[in-house]
Amino acid sequence: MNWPEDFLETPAFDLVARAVQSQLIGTMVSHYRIEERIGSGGMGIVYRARDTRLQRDVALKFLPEAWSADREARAAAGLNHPNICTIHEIGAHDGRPFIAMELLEGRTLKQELGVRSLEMGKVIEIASQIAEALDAAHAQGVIHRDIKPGNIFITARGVVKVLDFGIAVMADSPDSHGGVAIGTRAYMAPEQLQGRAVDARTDIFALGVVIQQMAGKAAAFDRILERCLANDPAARFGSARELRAALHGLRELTFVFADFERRLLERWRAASPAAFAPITSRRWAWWAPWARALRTRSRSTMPRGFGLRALCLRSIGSAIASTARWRACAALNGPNTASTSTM
Amino acid sequence: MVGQPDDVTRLLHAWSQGDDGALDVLMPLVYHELHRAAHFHMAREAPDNTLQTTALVNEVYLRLLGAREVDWQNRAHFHAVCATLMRRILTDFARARKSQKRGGSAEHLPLDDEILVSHTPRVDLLELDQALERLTAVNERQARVVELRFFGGLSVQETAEALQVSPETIQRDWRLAKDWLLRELA
Repeated sequence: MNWPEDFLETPAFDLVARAVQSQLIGTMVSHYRIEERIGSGGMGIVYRARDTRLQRDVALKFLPEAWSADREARAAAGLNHPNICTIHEIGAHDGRPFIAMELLEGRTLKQELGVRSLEMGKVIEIASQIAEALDAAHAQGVIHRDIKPGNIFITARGVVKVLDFGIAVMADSPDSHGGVAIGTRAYMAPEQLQGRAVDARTDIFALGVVIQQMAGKAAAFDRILERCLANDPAARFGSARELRAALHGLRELTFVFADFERRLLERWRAASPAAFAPITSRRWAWWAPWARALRTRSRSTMPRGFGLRALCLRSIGSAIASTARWRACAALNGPNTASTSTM
Repeated sequence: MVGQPDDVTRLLHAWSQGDDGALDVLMPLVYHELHRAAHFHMAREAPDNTLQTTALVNEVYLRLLGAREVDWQNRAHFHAVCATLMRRILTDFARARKSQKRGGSAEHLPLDDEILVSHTPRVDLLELDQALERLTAVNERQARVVELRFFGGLSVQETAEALQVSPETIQRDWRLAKDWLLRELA
């Protein structure tokens, strides 16, 4: 029989929800005209809307009815930082709270991570920008509480914008739908999961989870992750600024290593050109896959230098390398340890 | 209403043992929670590929029963109760929308605004509900399969568990029921 394929295939509730959501297009919400649905944030659907007063496009997001703007949400609306998505207005329409915010072009980190894993340099760059946003917000007494890839936006120009500051506050209120609907367990620090007091270090924990997700198995982040993901908040970085300093140190370290390895490689290349020349003779054929792997790695892998280190440093200058690394790590960890202990 | 997980568990058990009275007590309890959650979920986009129905029912389940260990049989029964109630909530909702539209607001509503179960032929939720009523008289289990799958958002496997028949039987019922309904609605 030639029946329509869509018949009954989408559950009724999803059909109704879709119809309700599309109903808003073209309508006015306060002085905003809803134009199109552009996606979803943690808690609500986001629409592109036209601010008819200021004649500009904004992103409009509806929040659950139980939500109400408290002191912290208002403080969040006042945040002005290049790495924080600006909130233009917090309002209500027919009893539904909404926020009008800066309309961003680009994609979320969640989408970015869905495509491919990130290069080490990029991980450091993104994490640093998030840390800057957190530092600025924490200074105003705003804790994010829901840092996760879906709340981190990377604009077409590569600027990182943290979304939804001050919104997840309602996760604590008894009227919210508990942990089921709001807040993302995978990113929550132990104190948040247990309903204890949260502070800046709760966001640092969540950022640690995000870094871990971005970095995959890159061992270079081990030390930083250790200090983000400690169960005891006191064992974490004391502030986002400290975390940023550690990331900065790591970046320096990668430069040092990349340079060191480049020079090592050059020296090696001069000493045994056969390994790098195109493999022609049968005598060297066994070496071809290794050489190829080595060359592609040195060109493209993201932990620039770190991948190579495993291959060539270990075999040639392991003693020198480990000493250099030890010194660099000591230099990296030294100031942080010092600054923590003075606090 | 919430905070009596033992009652809900007991009622689910009693109902599965064939006590229809238990269902009468259970229904309003679940209806209340489901209605509340549905209101919230309608304005909320499903995360990625998760079906909203599943998220919603699970949320209600957690609210009513907590994160306690309840055997899958109970969960299947709970889903079955929810499917019936979802049918009631959603058809009521569709009816309300329809009458709202007939209320003659000057606002232009596009055709797609209708809650359509199928675009070709154009079938809406209310017509389907009535056709399903007629199917119940012809073949009750087939109608039940549609209720569980379409209104309850259950997978073939889950439907099989709720009705305690094989997944193959569910597949066959589902296909036959869809054919029957489409003939009825075309």
